[in-house]
Amino acid sequence: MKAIIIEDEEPARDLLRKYLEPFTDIEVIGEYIDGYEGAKAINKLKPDVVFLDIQLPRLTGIEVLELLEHAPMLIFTTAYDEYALKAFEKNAVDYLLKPFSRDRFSQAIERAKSRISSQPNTEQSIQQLAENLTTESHLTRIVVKSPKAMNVIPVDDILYLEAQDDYVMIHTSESRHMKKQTMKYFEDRLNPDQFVRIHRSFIANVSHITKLEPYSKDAFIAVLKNGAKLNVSNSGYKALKERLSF
Amino acid sequence: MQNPILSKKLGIIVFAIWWTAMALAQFAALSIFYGLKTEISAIDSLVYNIIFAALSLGIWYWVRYSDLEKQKIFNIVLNHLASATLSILIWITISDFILKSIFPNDNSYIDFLNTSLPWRIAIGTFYYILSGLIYYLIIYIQNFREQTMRESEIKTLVRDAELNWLKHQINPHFLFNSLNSISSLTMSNPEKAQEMVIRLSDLLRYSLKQSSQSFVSISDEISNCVKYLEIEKVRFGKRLNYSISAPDAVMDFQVPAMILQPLFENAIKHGIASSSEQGEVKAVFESNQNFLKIIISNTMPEESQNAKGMGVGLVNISRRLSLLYGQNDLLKSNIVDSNYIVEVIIPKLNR
Repeated sequence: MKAIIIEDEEPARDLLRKYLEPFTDIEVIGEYIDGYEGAKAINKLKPDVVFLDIQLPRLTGIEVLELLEHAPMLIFTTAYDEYALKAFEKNAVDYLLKPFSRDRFSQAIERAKSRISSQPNTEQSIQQLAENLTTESHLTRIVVKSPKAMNVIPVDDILYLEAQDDYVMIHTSESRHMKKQTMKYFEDRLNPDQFVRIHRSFIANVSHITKLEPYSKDAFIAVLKNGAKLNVSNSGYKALKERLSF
Repeated sequence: MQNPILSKKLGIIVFAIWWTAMALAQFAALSIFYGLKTEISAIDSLVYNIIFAALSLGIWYWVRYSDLEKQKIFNIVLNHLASATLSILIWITISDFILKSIFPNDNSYIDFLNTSLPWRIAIGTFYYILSGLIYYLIIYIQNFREQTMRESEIKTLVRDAELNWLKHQINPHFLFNSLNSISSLTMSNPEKAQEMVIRLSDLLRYSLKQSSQSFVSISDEISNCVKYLEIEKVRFGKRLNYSISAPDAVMDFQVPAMILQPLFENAIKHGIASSSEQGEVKAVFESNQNFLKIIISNTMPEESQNAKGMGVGLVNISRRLSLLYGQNDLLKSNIVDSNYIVEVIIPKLNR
C-alpha cells in the first residue's frame, strides 16, 4: 500500500512515520507540509491511503478534498475540530485526535485496509465529505481545479457566480472558473452581507455592482464594474433592496 | 451634536408647553396688571416668547462649548456672560423692532415698551439662566447614563472573561498540537520532550494565576512569551524565526496580564502557520513617561497579502484594552512591505 502524509509540523510527521514502521506493507511515498502541494501529489501519485491534517498552510485539509481527482482512503489527524468530528463519523474515513496512541493508530490502519477491499472511497463520496466538513463560518476563498491548474480564488475577487447546468461559473475580473457545485451550496456558504442571489441563475458580489438599470416595467438589470449585465428577478430585487437599503 | 430638546419627541412637547405657559403668563400680566389691550398683550407676549424660545435653542451650543469638565470655571463664566448679554440684546432689539413696526402709532404702548426695559432684561436673564441650567442638567444625565452603561458592560465582559479565561488564553489547537509534539519527542528525543513539558506547565501555570483584571510587569509577560515561542519553535521548526528587542528601561512597565501572548499567537497564526516557507516574527518595545509601545510584526505569506482588516484575535485584544483604559485607539494594524504590523499603546497607570 502506498501512503502520503500531509502534515505541517515536523514532530507530528516523525510520529506518523514511527507508528508506520511496523507496517511493512505500507510505503510512505511522499510527505508534504502544505495543502496545495499535498493535493497535487495525491492527484499525481495516486496513493491508497492519505494521512491528512486539517489546519495546514495554503489550503486546509477540507479544501484539499475539493481538489482531488483520485479517491484514496483518508485518515484525518486533527488537534481540535469539533465541527469536523460529526462529518468524519458519517463518512467512510477514520480520524485520529492528537495526541493519539499507537494502538489507536493501528486500529485506524486496520480499518482503512478492510475498507479498501469492502467499500473504497469514490470521488463522489469524497466530495460529499468535503461538503459535510465545511465550517460554520463563511467561505473566504474558493478552490477550483481545472485540467491545467488548481486555483485559489479569494471571494473578494469574485464579481458574480452563474448557474450552468450541473456547474457554477465563477467570474472574476481576470478569469472564469467552472466548479461542479450547486448555486444553493454557494448561497448558503458565502457571506450574505456581500453576496446576494439576484436571480435563479446569478449570485452577485454587491460591492462590485455599479448600478441598477430599469429594463422593463418592473424588471431590472444589475451592471457590474466590468460592464457585465445581469438579470435581476423580483425576489432578487427585494433581496438587493434589503441588502443595500435603498 | 444636535440639540437634545429637538432630538426627542418628549423634548419638543415639553418645550412647546413651557413656552406656551410663559406666553400665557405674560399675556395675563400685561392685560390684567398693566391694563393693556387684549390684542396688544397677546402680540407682545407672543413676539417676546417666540423669539426667546428660538434663541434658547442656540444656548445649547454655548453650554456644549463651555463643558464643566474641560474648561476653567473663569472661562465658563466669561462665556456665559458674553452669550447672555448677546442673547438678551438680540432678543430685546428684534422684539422691540417688530412690535414698534406693528404698532407704530400707539404712543402709550411704545412708552410702555421703553419703560419696561429693565423688567424685560430681568426676565431675559432669568430665561437665560433657566435654559442654561436645564442644558447642564441634560448633559449631566446623559453622561451619567453613558457611565452606567459602560460600567455594566465592563461588568458583563469581566464575568465572561473570567468564565472563558483559560479557554481564551490557551488555544486548544496550540495545546493539543503541543501535546502531540511531546508525544512524538518522547520516542525520538526524551530530553527535549521533558523540556517541552516543563515549558508548557509553566505557561499553563502563568495563565491560571492571572485574572483578566490583574496587572504584571512587561518583563513577566515577555519571559512567558519566550516559553510560548520556544514551544511553537518545536512545532514549526525552521519555519519560525523570532526576535524580541526590549531595552531594560521598559522592563518594569505595568501591563494587563496575558496581553502579549495573544499578539504573538496572532502573528504566528498568520505569518508562520499559514505558510510552508520560513517566516519571521519580530517584537520591539519602547517606552516614555506616558506609555509603552509594543510593535509586533510578522512576514506575510504571498497568498494572504491581499487580506485586509483585523482578525477576531486582535479585535478581542483591542476590546479588552479599550475597556481597561477607556480609549479605543490603543491597537492599530497596518501592512508595510508585506509585513503585517500591530502596534499597541499601553498607557501608564496613575497610582
